Amino acid sequence: MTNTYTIHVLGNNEPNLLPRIALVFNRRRVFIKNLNASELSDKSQYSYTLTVETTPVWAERIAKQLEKQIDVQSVNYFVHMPVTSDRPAKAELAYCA
Amino acid sequence: MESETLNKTTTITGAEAVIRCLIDEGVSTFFGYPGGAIMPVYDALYDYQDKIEHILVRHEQGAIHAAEGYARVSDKPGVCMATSGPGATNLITGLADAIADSTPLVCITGQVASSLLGTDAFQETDVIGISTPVTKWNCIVTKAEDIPAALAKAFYIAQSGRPGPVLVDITKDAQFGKMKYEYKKCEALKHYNPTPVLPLEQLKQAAKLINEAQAPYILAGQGILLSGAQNELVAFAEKAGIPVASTLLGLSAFPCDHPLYAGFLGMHGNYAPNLLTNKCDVLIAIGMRFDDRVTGKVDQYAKQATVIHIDIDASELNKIVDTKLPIQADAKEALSALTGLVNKNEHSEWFNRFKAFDQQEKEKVTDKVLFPTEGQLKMAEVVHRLSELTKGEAIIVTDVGQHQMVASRYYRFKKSKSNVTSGGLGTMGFALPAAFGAKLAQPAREVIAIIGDGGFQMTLQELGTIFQYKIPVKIVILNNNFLGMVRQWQQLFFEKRYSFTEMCNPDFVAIAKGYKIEGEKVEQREDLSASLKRLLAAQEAYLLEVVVETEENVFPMVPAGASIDEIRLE
Ligand SMILES: Cc1ncc(C[n+]2csc(CCOP(=O)(O)OP(=O)(O)O)c2C)c(N)n1
Repeated sequence: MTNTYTIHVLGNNEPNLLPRIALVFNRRRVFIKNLNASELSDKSQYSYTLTVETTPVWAERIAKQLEKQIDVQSVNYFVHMPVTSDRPAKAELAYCA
Repeated sequence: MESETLNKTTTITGAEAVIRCLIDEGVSTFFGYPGGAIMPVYDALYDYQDKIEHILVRHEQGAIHAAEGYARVSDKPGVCMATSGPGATNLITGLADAIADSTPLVCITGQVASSLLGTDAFQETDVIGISTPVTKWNCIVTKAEDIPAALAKAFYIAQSGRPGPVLVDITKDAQFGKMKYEYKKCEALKHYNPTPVLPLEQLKQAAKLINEAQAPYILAGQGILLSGAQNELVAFAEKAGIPVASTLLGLSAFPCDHPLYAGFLGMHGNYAPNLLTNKCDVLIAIGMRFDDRVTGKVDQYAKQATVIHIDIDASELNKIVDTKLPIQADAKEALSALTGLVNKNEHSEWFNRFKAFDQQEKEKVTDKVLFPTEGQLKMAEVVHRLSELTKGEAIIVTDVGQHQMVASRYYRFKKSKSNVTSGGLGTMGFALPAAFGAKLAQPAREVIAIIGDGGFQMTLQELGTIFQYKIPVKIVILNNNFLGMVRQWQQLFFEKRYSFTEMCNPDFVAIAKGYKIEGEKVEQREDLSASLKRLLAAQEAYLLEVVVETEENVFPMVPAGASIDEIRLE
């Protein structure tokens, strides 16, 4: 079963980190639906936010592979859950790692 | 001039800085091939030939495999250098090989001037782009003053944590640029924690599981060798009385003549260690990554076992096999802590189960291939004889194919760091350059390359390097006139349709002689021992072509995609 995941990567401001991150997904045939990359006010840092559709197992594997990249500082990911009457919109994102 | 150039903080070119960084990093030998975009560095090297040894190979792939061989038998990273464009792209196979086998390498490539980047200039290629998927880290340097820090970082990353290859691409203007030289070794990087804190609580839980186990079983991988945990592994196994099996790259981490040694794992591994993986109750995997050649069909792999997996790379834990206790740790630290925590024990009944299967393998397979009395020579008897004559103390460098599996099965390694082979990538052409790289790192040890007739022809130009530098490496070609391993699969799984696997081979001895390397060819069983003795007695490089059975198959074999329970003896 696949879910939509939002993955946040905080990294060093290194130009080759973006392709490294993209390769982690592409190699595993997990397509990036949305990507935002931005320099932070602390110019030594860069933030990446990606949205992908994948399984829980692959989400975890990908997070570990991202964490392994030398210029990655931290990785967090969230699963999107459908909004239902017993689960208000505020709880839409569940924290995974 | 020397004292002046070596004086700290003098102004030098980026090119000279590259060489001085290598010297300051403790590099004594490196491998390379010049070309336009790296010429300033080669020009600087001209003045440093008495301080650092550069080996001119015959193809950049040779340089990188030699660097891998060098790294695998020493405690240093391998270093190689190439020019831009085709020089750099020729390194790619070696980078892929090194990342698959966790080999620490620092590769330096020349690049066109920074003003030409992205203009399709002559010999400009996007080396960073091409090498990104096959490097642990890479970077481009466009300013002379950035060279020392980039190289220091490169050396640190290559060797720390789970080792791997790194590449530093240096533009020509950076090489020509002037800078004040100062070198500081890199000892840490922000946000990179290569050595995890020892998780004592988890190790205590592991010890409890091990103490309660009836049939515990250790799978040892190359992580043991990379962390230098050979003695710790022996101490742990002996205290807890646990049999130890080895992966392909783990071979020589645990002595083959140790009573607790269970054998070699994997598709062409030993019978007992494969079968009993599915019978143990606690599986302790250390510094290995459950490659598919080891697990066979994963859904039927060690399902009954409680798995403890110790690896320095967190991304390996729970990647393939469901693990009850994933422990991110350095193998040496984890093993010495575990040894203190486990009870003294023995599991003789469990161990006897290995003996029973060993006996079956001996009767059905081993005796037949080690001691044949008629027919053509068999690969196994050659390796067996070599193992006896060298008392299991040589460094064995193998290529890829049947001869590799046979050498891994029948060479009885007694010394650690003695097995150099291309495991994860399975790169034909690896062995010849890796062998002379290994010999340069360990000149006092006997280094023997065992290569198939196919693989030898992928990098045979490196005989030129062996000749030029008089590197006394021994080469054994096991010639079956086939791409043997592929032919075996065609026979077993493709109805014997031998599609393009038969080879029409040259006179290998004549080729060696063309490079002034002594050699001979042996075809008869009664001549084998004498030929091997001449090979070993030679003071210089020596090539022995052994004509072996053309259509021999390597058994046991776990058919691709099958469970390890389906391992076939014939
Ligand atoms: C570079 C490369 N190309 C192709 C292969 C696929 N392959 C694996 S084993 C093998 C046959 C090797 O033949 P040979 O070197 O003669 O050794 P043998 O198996 O006969 O011992 C081939 C073609 C490979 N591993 N590497």
